[in-house]
Amino acid sequence: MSAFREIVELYKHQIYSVSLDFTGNHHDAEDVVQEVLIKVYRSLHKFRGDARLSTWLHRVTVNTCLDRRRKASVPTTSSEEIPQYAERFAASDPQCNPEKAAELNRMQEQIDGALSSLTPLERSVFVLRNYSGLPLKEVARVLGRSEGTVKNMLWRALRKLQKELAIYGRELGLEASK
Amino acid sequence: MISCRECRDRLLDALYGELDPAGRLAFDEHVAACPNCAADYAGLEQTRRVMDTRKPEPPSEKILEGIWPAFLDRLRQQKAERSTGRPWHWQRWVLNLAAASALVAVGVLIGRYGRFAGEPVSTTPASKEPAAAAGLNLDDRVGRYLERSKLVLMSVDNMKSAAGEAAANDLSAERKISRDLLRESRALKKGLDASRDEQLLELMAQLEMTLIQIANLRDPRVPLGVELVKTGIEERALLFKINLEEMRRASERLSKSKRDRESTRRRVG
Repeated sequence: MSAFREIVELYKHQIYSVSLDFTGNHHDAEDVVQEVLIKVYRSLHKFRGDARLSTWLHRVTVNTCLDRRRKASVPTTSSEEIPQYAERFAASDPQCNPEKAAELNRMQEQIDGALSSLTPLERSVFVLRNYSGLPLKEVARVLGRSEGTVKNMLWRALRKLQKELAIYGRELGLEASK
Repeated sequence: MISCRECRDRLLDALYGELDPAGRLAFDEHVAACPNCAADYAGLEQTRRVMDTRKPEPPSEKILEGIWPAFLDRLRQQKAERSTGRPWHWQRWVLNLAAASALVAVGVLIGRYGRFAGEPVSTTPASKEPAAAAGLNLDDRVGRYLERSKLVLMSVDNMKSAAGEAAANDLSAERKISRDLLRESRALKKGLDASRDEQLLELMAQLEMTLIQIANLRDPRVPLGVELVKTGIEERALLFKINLEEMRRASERLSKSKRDRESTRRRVG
């Protein structure tokens, strides 16, 4: 058990961050982390060492998030969570007046909305590449897809996001899409 | 200079800074000279920049520190549910059913081989001779493979895994049979049809993992290895799945013989 605790201490931040990027709120992210740890604990003996432990943990985390999404069929970002952005902007930047905080808050809502427009797999690829910083080869390993497929998905994801965000082009500093 | 198509192929790599210096130089040269590709790249770069401003609140220290205690709580809770809750009773029921079916199957085996071979049959399926050499067809070989696998799994499942009692375990027969079964499994796979026998092939793949574990159990006095195999058997519900597969095959045989009888009757009529 102490060896497993070491794994948890080493990777809990990684598992939590990916879960949070997928679910968009802390409540669900905490649940996902626990679900992932139970799965990993029960199947650690199946880990054959042919992939890196972090890759395997990413895979379990992503699959857990996708399973939950499939079962719940609900948007990943909770509406209760969104107002927290405004409070955080205000707290992190004393210069940030309430209007500015509200504007930033709205922008974050739009970004979350754009992210929700992606299919689960597109979102997985985008989150792993963009927010977890995994190279495409590693993303392919985590998702068990070819690198070409993953590249196509990332391409599609970026195009969709560009289109979704184009509506708010000027506000978000984006040029109108072609 | 690279073409627009080549530029497009490199766009994602350029966006995430994954181009080597020479590739980057060629990409930049093209983008500087081609307004279409430049606009395309600028659009995606801006999209990425905007998406990067998404900042979910990082987890607090309190959340991170609570992960381990919460995990221990959940684990304890699951263990308690297993010992008292309905799912565990259900699993016990399934294992009991599996054990009863195995006993019946052993009886059938003894009857079949005892009658035709005229010699005593051991309940331990340790035959060294490959099933193909015994003149069995594919269907019979699969049946025999499933039967032997079930007996090995049950044998390991009944082993002591507590530290003080594990020394009494002797795994030599199980390890040997597991190796035989792994060889047989590889041979059988060649003859099976991936679309028709999908379920069976999946079961065989799961069985292989456990058989490899058994074949590699080095020291029976170390309880952890046996315990891991037992957990794997339980979690993958292997005995239950073998029984299901056997029932499915029996039912297929029954319908086939029915069809054969009917077609014979029609021909005669």
